[in-house]
Amino acid sequence: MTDLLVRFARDRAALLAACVVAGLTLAAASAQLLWPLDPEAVGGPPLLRPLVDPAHPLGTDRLGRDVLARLLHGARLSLTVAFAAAGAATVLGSAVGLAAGLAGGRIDELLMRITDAFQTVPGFLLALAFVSVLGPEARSVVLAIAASAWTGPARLVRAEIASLAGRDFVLAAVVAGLPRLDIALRVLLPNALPPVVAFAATNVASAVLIEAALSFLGLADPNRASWGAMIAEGRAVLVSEPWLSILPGLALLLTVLAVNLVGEGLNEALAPRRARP
Amino acid sequence: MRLTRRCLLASATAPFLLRAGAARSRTPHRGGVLVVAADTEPRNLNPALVASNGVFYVASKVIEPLAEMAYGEPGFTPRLALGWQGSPDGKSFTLRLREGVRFHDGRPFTSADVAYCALELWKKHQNLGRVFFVDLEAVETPDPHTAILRFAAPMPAQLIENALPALTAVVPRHLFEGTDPLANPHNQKLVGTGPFRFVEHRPGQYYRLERNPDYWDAPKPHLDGIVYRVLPDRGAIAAALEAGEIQLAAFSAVPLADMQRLAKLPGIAVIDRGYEGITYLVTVEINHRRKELADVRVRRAIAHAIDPSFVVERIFLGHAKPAIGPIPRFDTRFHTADQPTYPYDPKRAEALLDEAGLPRGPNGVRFSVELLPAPWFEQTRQMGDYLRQALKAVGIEAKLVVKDPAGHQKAVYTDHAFDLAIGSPVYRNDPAISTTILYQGGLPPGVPFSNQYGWADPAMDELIARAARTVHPAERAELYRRFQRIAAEQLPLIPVVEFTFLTVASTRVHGVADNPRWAVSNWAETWLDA
Repeated sequence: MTDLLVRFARDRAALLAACVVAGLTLAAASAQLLWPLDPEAVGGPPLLRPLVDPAHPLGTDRLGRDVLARLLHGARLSLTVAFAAAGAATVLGSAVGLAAGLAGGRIDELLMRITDAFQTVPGFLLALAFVSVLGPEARSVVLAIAASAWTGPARLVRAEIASLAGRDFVLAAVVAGLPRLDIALRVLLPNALPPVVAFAATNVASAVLIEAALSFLGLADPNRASWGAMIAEGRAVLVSEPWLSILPGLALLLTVLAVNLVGEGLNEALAPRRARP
Repeated sequence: MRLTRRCLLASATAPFLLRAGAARSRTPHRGGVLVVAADTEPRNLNPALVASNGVFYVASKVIEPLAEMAYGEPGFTPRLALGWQGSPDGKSFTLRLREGVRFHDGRPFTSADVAYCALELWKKHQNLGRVFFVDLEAVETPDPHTAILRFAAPMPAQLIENALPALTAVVPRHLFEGTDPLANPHNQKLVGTGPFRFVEHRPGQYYRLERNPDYWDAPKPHLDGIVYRVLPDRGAIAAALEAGEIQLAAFSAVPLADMQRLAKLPGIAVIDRGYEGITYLVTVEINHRRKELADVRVRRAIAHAIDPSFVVERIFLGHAKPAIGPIPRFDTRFHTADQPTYPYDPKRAEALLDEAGLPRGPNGVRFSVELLPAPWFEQTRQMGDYLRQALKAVGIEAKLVVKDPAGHQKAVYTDHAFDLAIGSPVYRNDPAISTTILYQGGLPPGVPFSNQYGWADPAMDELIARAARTVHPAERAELYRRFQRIAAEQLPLIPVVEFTFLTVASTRVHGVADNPRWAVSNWAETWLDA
């Protein structure tokens, strides 16, 4: 474990990105303490530019809502949805992959064809359809993103299981007479997981983007601030007051970039043999 | 395509000509093609069948109604009818029609066309006419230039007159008779009597109209033609105006915030007249099936919690007025200021809610509601955001539920699955056309933009029925003033602001907004600088 951390820390970009992700998560979690303004309160002066009024350091939107508060609360929504969706996708995908890899034969065939079916539909379209039917709530957005993102982990785990199955330590476990379930969960899964974890980070990044795109299209919970919706609202005044779209856009860029770099770093750290010398 | 390029060239030089042109003379210049933005392409473009602003915007230049609205007294300009007279008992309405008018295919316009349209199109198929002309029994045509509408029950002449501009577009009988009117190809390839002829429609690209040289009001129109460029994206419309690719965008097609910026540019003007005849209201619609909201004190409290000036200033950027009742102030014939009002006063709102037995709970919340803002206007959506906060300030927790337009209509007007909604009803020049229906009880579910609120007051219903049958204009107006007072006292729905649209146009365009329905009128008087 420490080995892993050391290897990870050697990659400066990944380390920095991890700090950014941690910082964002912390800021989102403590939004109320950090900046106690209500993100929905419409009282302030409208269309205040950033860095003018210390009461609203990042300015206000057309209804006079504080942009900083909305960004922080938007981060909370974005990150919650993204982590929950990526988590759900990873768990579901791993379970399917594990079952397919272990069972083999017809079950494997069936599960993989289902996976194929999901993979042929573009993820965003699937999410769009899901949210249109289930209604624009955070829960259905999580479900929608997970429904399109579980196929990656499923294929990954199945492939890992297939390649691990013939290894000596697995055979040793079989010879030692461990029950099948124990072999699956204690021997195979832990060894199949590292690439899945690295892949999960990519999933988080794409979940952030899908969530933003959905809320940009108006398919987000209208009761909560979200980055995508902020960009969409800012569009009406894009020429005269561009920062209203640029700020949430930057937040989005920073988050996706950082999460991706962490994923990259994890990938390198977990597969040292492939790492450059 | 050649046409478009020529227009582009012409408009590229516009900024330099602009001031000189404006100063030189006010005499209309003949010629030039006006290029305007269109944001929708209605499937059925026949105004005799579909009375809606989206259809009128294009079709009103080709197919004319019997009369048009005008500023000042008597409020009308004759079009296909020269004059009209109601009988004292209200059961007949005589129209004297213009002579020497020809349709674009050369055939003469006569009373037979009016009779056919009235009985077969307006009464049977038109969205507004189906309700409005329900008592129309027959149309007599004693000679080619007289038509007498006969009604089964008294119809106030004033009401019919007020409906002439929007409900009475005339298409040629010889092209429609004996066909299925809804499937007739002339619902797309329009034939009428108007100042412009329909040339072509390229879906997704443009509509093209050209001058009708045989127009009854020749030498009008001033323009050689009109091109409607289909630009569904609002940002693109603003950009096209700035670049001079189009010279006019009506119906607030440009975002309000962008409009302020455009207004400062040389050569572009923002015009807020020309829509009074189609004034919209922003209302808070209330579901009286919720027991808290059935209490009039709670409804008054909600009205006191709303600051109309915030809505005017922030959401409409000044292009609206606080509403006094459901009839806009513009219509001085019916509007009365003598009715209860509910000024912004959160303390009073809280007192009323306490009085209604709805104290704040331990978390500061009195009760929770679901709020459905109508999704069709940016402003109605923003009104939802605002109302949620305004209600929160007095202890009512509102959860926003945003649906697509069809889903919203179904939820509110069919399924009644809402507590509060933000609506945007239109006032169409007479309270009996689309306003009293918001207050009338006992309507079946599914009638859009009507009283689906679960509110019914026998006194109100009686008043609405009586006013609809009262022939004498002064008596009728008095009944509608009483209607407004009951509406304001009982407050079954809350009118918040009234608004009209804006036109953004190049200063080369003249004869804009010269009547209260300008965007949907015939543009015969509109002209371009040379």
